[in-house]
Amino acid sequence: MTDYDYRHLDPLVHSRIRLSVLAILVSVEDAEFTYLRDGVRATDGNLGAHLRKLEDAGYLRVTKGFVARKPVTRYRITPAGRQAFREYVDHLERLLRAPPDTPPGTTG
Amino acid sequence: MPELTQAPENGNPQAAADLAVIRRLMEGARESTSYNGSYLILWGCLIAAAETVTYLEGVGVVAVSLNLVWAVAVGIGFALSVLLGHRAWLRSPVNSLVDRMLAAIWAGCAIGLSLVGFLGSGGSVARLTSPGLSAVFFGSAFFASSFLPGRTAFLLLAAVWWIIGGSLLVWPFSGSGLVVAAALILFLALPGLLIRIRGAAPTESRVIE
Repeated sequence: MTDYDYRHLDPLVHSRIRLSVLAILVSVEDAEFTYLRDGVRATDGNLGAHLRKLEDAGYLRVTKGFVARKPVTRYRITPAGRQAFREYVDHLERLLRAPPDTPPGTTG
Repeated sequence: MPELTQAPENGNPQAAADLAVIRRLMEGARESTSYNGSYLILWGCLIAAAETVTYLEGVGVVAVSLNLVWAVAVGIGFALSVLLGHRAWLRSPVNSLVDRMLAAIWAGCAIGLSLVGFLGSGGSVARLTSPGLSAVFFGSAFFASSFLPGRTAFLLLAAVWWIIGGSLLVWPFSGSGLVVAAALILFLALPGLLIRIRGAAPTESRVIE
């Protein structure tokens, strides 16, 4: 395979910011918005839009609250999100194992 | 930020690079911790105070119920630990497995010490043996904690506690409690203070470049 066949990748995960967010959240119990923002080095608005997509897809669970009168938004990955991330990583690993001349689309 | 990959000419190197970055992000997040040493300071001071009172009662300087002294010290320790833990859980920017494992290790140590202290005081654990036994428990907790990311210095503290504990078990004397009290300040509360001073900034995760 010579192409990075993105057609077989989950479009919701196939984004630098969303993939970074999932990679972080799959490794922790939960994380605050600011932690994710600093981790993925995105602006508030940009990250917020990506997080909403993941939330709408059921990949993240959001908890909003107040700590010391300041609003705090925490994110936790759901089993569906974990599964989507796992499948994405599996796909990348299959791409690596596939021989160079494998026709595109046969590894996914 | 652009999408991860649209359709590069050769996908395998790109996939390898993406996987490498994903692994780095995951490792960084796993090693994140909000642990700030508060529990070490809290328990170090409380148990040192209780050990000192126990020693003073033993030499006849004060007359108090030791069960009451220890019940108060341990009660305050557990109550404040729960409060600190709850506060940290709410306020920490990230709650990681490292935090949960550290909490489990030290909670196990505190519960074990409480069992030895309260049940053992009935006679199965000699009064002179108790301080040495406590030191061994602390050594074990530091040893287990040292295997978590960024905690290799705890190995040295484990060795110090085991040497103190072993020595006090072989050569127990009336001042064993005072030795452990001093050790609690030097090798439990002080490291906690240093951790707190150095800050508990979570390990920074990195975005895919």
